[in-house]
Amino acid sequence: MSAPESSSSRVPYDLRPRKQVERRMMAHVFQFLAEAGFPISTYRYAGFGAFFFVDFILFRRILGISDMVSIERDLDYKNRVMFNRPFKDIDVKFQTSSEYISQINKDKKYILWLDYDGPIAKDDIDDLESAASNLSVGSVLIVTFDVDFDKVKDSKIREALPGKRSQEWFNRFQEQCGDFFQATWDISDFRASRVNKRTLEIAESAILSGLTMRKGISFEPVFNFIYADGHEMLTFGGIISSKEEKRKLGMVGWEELPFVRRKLDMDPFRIEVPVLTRKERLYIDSCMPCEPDWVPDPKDFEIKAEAIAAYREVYRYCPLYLIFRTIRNRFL
Amino acid sequence: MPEANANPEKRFFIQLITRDIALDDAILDLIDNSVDSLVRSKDIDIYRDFIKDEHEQGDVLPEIRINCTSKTFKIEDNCGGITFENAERDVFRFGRPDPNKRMSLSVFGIGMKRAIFKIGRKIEMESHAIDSGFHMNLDVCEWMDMHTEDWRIPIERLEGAADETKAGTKIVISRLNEEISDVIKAPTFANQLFRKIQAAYPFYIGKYLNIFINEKRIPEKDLIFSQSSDHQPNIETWEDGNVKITLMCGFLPRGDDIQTQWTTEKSGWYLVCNGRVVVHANKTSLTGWGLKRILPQFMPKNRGFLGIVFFSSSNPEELPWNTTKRGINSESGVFLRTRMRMITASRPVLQFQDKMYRSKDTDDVREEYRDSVKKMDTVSATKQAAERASAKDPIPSQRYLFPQPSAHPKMSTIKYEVKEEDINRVKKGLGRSSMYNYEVGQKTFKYYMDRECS
Repeated sequence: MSAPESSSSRVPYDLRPRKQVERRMMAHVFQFLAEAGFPISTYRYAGFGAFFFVDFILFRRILGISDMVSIERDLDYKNRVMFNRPFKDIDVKFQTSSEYISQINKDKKYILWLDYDGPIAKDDIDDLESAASNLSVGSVLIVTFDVDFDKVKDSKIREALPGKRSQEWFNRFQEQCGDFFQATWDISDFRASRVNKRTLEIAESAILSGLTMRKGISFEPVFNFIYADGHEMLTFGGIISSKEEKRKLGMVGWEELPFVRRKLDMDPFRIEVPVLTRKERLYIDSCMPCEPDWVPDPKDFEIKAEAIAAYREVYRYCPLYLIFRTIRNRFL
Repeated sequence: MPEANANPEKRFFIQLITRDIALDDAILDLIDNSVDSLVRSKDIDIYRDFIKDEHEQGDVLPEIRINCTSKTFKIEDNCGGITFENAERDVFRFGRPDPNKRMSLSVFGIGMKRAIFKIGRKIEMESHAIDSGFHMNLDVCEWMDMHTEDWRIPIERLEGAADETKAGTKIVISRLNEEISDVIKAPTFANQLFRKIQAAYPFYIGKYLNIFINEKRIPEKDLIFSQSSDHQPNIETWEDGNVKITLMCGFLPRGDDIQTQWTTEKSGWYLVCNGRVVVHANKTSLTGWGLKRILPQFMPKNRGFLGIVFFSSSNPEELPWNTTKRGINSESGVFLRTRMRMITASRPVLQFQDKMYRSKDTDDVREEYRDSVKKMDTVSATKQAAERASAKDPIPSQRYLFPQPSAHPKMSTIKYEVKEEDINRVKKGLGRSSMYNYEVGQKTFKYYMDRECS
């Protein structure tokens, strides 16, 4: 659930380059889906707009979605939220995500993005389960969780000594995940490098559990991103599909979207945005798309090949404001 | 004389009584059969052998392996197998002509059949005992449609097993019933089943055999209770006809981490029949909670309460379990008489829990009571039960013992009203105008005590 007092008041939403890359990658996928016969522009976009509504602005501009709902559980900033609506027809629902999900219109197709800012919790699992059982076929369900091993928004984990953090993660999962918690998991399954996988598994199980009683309906994964604009976050998403949706998905030109993850046993796509000066970036952009092992001439400037390789994957989605960031911060 | 038809119908056994049992309990019934097969073929006394230390590290235990997908269900063991003669005569009969006469988990002659009919429509079973074996291939729908008087199932004789480690039974069920396939598909199913099995066989898993679900081994989980220098659980053993009963009542173990916190979920009564947990953490009137004028309802302050009753008998029909082995036949005389003792045993524990929160005591007293249960050692209940059940001379009962509070003087409260401006003057006089009113009361009282009462 979005909480304006927490993350949006600390981090200016529109200045998080990796999150912005993620949104733009999603939008790109939605454009492909539209071409394959998913009427994306008629979908209802439901998300946590908070004060910034960045995803709302992007999806309206790029995808032409006009039916938009922002779910807002914080009642202390009602006016501020309304004041910041970028378009007057965004419907702001002041309720919890679980209330909203229980009222999902089964005749409508949704893009529902549960952009939580904490680690996976019991209520979120319930949300995913009921979203999966309520969303009509063709709908897109996306969820984001904090998977930062050290800095996660859970005081018990954060304040634990580094050697005890796995134990605290294990405890938290055991406490929150009920029967989704695998009986064979032990503390070693909650090492720093494994927390994101565990989160993904729980999220997937919750969705499958919601679909159990829906005959012939499956969840077709599309997104599995990891990125960090501060905290390491996991975004996972896919499409509630019947045979017909699966057929359409088969026609999408996935090979043009290398960041898409149709199978969950693949490693997530890690969004890396190297820090570049404005001059460097203009130069590198002019050389894109580059050959896999290309680097600028070291006589011009030195940069690691990995940085260029990472940038090659994301350059077309990188927001331009990246280069203004340091300047703006200085005067803030 | 005219006669009424009272013949059974196959449909009744295939489609109707299968409704009375949940899928996981039906699977537990299949495990019960494998366990029994082991106990019978190795002549195990679950209690006496439990405390023997002859199990060595590295011993390969027999195994039960369960694998299920939304299409097939498979259970396979090397627990001894079934002979051809046994299959021909007993295994597929509904009900038993004579009661079972050993300490076993198979009681009613219904579990295995009900389980396989519950799960699916195409059943293949193969078993090899040392002497002989059999193979069966049953299409349930065809068998049901065959004329109703014929209850025979074709089986084929097979060779005996090559050696003891290969003697066992395999059941493969396909064409799963639709709702079963849905339940198995749910991502939580295997986890729930895993925990249920782990909780149901504390005497068997890791001791006599290992159980695997989808290739994951279920680790043993003992039934444990707590003991400390201040607290001793109530333990008593008695016999009621052919049933031997051991009752323990006291507290759950307690530690600092989440695994050992007292929770409502773990708290309550556990009822165990021939080593199989039948009732798990019960807090309802079945075990006396909330019975009018007898015991109060279970409340959050009672978390930490733990009672375990072990019933055992070599005539398993006398045990108070019902046919699903997931509950108690609540009219059973053995059970009702036991319940009276459970209620008596639980009273002092509940009284102690009351004292932990009782308002008429001072904070010191309540604190002292609570401190006494902060850290408790763990004791294996299964081991205690096994010792008591196999002891030649009865082990005397142990009464519940809990700490007496150290002598605290009886306290009383004084309450009176005075003008606020007067209090403020006294506060000033006492040197600190920010002090609380009660401190004014304590200090002025002490002033009088020091001068007039010492």
